[in-house]
Amino acid sequence: MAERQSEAVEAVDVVHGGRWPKETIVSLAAFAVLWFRLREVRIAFILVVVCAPIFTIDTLDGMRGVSKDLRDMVRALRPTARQFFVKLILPATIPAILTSWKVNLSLSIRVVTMAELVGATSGIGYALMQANETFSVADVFAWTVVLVLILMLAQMIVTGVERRLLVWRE
Amino acid sequence: MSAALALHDIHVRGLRKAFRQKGSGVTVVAIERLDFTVRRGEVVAIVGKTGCGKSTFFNVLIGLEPPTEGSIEIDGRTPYGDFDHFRGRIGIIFQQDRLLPWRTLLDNVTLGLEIMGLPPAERRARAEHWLSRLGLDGFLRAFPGELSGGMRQRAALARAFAVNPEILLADEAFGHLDEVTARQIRGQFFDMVRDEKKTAILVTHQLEEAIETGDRLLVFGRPATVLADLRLEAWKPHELADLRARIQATLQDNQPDPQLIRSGETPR
Repeated sequence: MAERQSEAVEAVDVVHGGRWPKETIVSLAAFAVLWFRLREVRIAFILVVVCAPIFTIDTLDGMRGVSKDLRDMVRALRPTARQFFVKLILPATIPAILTSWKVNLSLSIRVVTMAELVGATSGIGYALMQANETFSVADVFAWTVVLVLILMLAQMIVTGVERRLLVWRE
Repeated sequence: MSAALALHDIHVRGLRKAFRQKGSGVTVVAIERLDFTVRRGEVVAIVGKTGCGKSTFFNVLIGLEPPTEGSIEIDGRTPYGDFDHFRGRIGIIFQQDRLLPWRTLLDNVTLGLEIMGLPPAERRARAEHWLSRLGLDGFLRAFPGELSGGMRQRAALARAFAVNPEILLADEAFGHLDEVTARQIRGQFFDMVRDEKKTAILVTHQLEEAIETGDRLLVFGRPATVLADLRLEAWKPHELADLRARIQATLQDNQPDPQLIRSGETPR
């Protein structure tokens, strides 16, 4: 336990140096290290805890944003609660969900990298840290390029999905 | 009147609707008191100034909101209390088309039929029938955003008629269109209402539209009360100018005109 606690303290130091919003990631990383033995689980935990609230708020906002006009129109057709959700609320919220995904993608890649700096023994974040510690600037650059490429690919996938689902907006 | 015919009369009794304004907490009366009956198959035009509670009346009639006092009954049931009973029985056409932008015209028209649980083939057949009747056969797969306001409003008409409701409500449904388009679509609407023998209530702030289209004219004050209730067939064409002036005056004074309350029973 003492070993994991010191690991947690170390994690706080590393993240602190990374200029991430302190209040959230610092304590999250510490909790992740204390609560979870498996490193992948720690990272998943941090990722979910950081991104889920933003995603949830965006989605709920999108749902609330469905106009009263359309709500009344559909309600006048007297749907069941399930029909109301499936036929109106969900499709009307898809643009907000996709936008939230796009924003969250870059955030989540940064969070995962950051989390790997702290709590992993593999992964790009870990490799970045290794490269940094061995003053291997070329490796740092190389891994950064890989990160950017992954982000671009992910954005392309979401944009493709968006184009398919939101064809009516074209 | 036979029992069968009386089945779908709309009885509005002592209807009052008041809201509490969220910001100020002040209670606003939208409907002061409404008492009238709309017979089955009647085409009623309601005219009133903007903000006279016409749309609130429709919201109560369609069952989206409960009355504060009084009731609206159809077949002894209230649209708000027996909400599900009226599925597919009351159709409404709003001021804006309110089409779902992510659905094609065809899918917009099938929406009500999906909610009623009709099989896909029948949904499609009915939607195609109504869209083609309204001259939109070439646009089944178009999205609302690709069409003009008039075409969209026609699609909204098709959506309302496709569910084959007994009662049709039109809430300023043609007011935002240009005069020529409005006249044309209004004509189609009333042709279909009369062909299908629907009961229809049309709300408008344009007196001319109300006189042209209704069998019966209700003039609403502000807040909503019936200031005048008359059968238009009882007025000869040369008297219409006089009628128009009197209704204008009634609207202006916001006072009931006893000579214009005939409830239709005794035509002039």
